Amino acid sequence: MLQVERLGIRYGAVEAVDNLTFHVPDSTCVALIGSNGAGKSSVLKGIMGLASATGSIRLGNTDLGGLKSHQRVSAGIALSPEGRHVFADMSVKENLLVGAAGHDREALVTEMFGLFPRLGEREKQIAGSMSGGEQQMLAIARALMSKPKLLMLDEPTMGLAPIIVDQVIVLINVLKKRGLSILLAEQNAEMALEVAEHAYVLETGRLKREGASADLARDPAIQEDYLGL
Amino acid sequence: MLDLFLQQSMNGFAQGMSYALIALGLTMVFGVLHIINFAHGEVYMVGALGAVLAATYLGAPYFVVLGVGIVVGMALAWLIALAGIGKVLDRKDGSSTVLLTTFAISIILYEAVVTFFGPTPLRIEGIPGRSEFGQTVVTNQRLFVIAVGLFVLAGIEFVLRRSDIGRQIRALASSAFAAQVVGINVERIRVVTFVAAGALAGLTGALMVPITLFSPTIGHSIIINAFVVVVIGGMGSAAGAVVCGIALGLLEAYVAIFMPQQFASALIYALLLVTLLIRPKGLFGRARA
Ligand SMILES: Nc1ncnc2c1ncn2[C@@H]1O[C@H](COP(=O)(O)OP(=O)(O)OP(=O)(O)O)[C@@H](O)[C@H]1O
Ligand SMILES: [Mg+2]
Repeated sequence: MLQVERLGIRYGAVEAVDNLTFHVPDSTCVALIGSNGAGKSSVLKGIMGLASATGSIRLGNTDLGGLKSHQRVSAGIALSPEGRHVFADMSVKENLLVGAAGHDREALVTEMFGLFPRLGEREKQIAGSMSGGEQQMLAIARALMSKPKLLMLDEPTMGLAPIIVDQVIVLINVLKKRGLSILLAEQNAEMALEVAEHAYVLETGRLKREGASADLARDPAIQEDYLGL
Repeated sequence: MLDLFLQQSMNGFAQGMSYALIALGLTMVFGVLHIINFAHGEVYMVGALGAVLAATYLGAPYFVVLGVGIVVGMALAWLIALAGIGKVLDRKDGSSTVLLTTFAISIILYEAVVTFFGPTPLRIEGIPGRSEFGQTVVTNQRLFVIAVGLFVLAGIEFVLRRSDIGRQIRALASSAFAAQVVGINVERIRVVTFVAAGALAGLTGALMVPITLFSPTIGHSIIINAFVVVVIGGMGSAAGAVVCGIALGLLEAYVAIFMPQQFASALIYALLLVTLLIRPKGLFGRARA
């Protein structure tokens, strides 16, 4: 589904991502793990066209290089950004509609309300007045409104209670079954390794480890550095 | 006294409507592009000029003249966006550079109009006649300005709330980052907003020119009042621009009952100063995220 090769992202003198190669297969969840400043968000922004990147990014047969963000969304990429960034002064439903591509939007909204009943109950509520967890759900639902092939989630569990984190895990599994590919950026390595099939560990912009989640979870070095065991 | 008050209420309302429409364009452009369009007043002026020329040389009926004002405003705004904004905005410090480029454009437009048409005021007829309400007499043109203004404001509200493009404009005003994330074509929405503000300014020029007469300085006068309105109303607040625009028109008219015109200006700047000191975000402003 997604093929990223020799990705490089720099902000002035800061090299945020250096020569990173990875891929996300169809209907699979792949995690990017790393601590603060490792470069996870930068990778997602690079894929989204929100940060200028070198290297090659392909979605299926489409080369995303040189495309603007809105063209990448049309190509099938969606992002639920770190910090949610919902449209605070618009209603829940308007937040969804603004993320929708083309036709059948009412049907899509209904579908989202099925997936996220909490949002359905709050259709008219102003997004800025919702709880952090509700805003996170809204950010994910809004991303899904463009009918993406690849959904990127940036720290979807940050600041959420363990029950809600479990809901996010359930949700990711549902979306995978529906055929979506998911790229998950997480500091919460425990959660990420639970939900993802495969993970890449970043440290200061470089790939440090990669492997099947189950293998990484058993690795003593990973346990010590990222799982706090 | 009551008659005079009612009289001035109608006059002030019509004038205030022009402030509201101009300030609304300024504040929408500020909210969406985060720039101050200094040339906005000249778009109003050139729209009014287009109306005068269409009426004088083509003998067009007034409804066509209004359309000419709108088209001229849109075309000019589009050119300004092309020449003074598009290339500049995404640079570092782009917003302050745009202040200068639009300032330069406003001077070029003003001087060009003075050079070609001279400083003598030009006039056209709008809606003829006047209406009497008891002792109060209002020209039909003023009533027309009020009616069209209310209709346009309702239309804008409807578009912003109900249409895709309106939602995209509000989304972009709320967060440029999130707008890009959801796949809004940000550049397109910026141009649309800018051209829509131009249409509004051109229309307002054509609406007001039968009342104010045309002179090349009308752009200056209105933009200064519109800035005051936008600052008092809160930068980026549409409701603030409309309410404060109409309030300013009314205030000017009431003050004129008791004092010469210049005192009205002094009073308005005093209000501006007080607002900046007490509520720097304006009456309708909110802290932005
Ligand atoms: N717009 C920017 N300008 C300059 N430097 C930036 C910018 N964005 C990120 N960086 C730098 O790039 C590096 C990687 O940041 P990034 O946000 O990608 O990390 P992250 O892994 O997402 O961290 P976190 O877990 O804290 O979200 C950091 O050193 C950061 O300071
Ligand atoms: Mg991050």
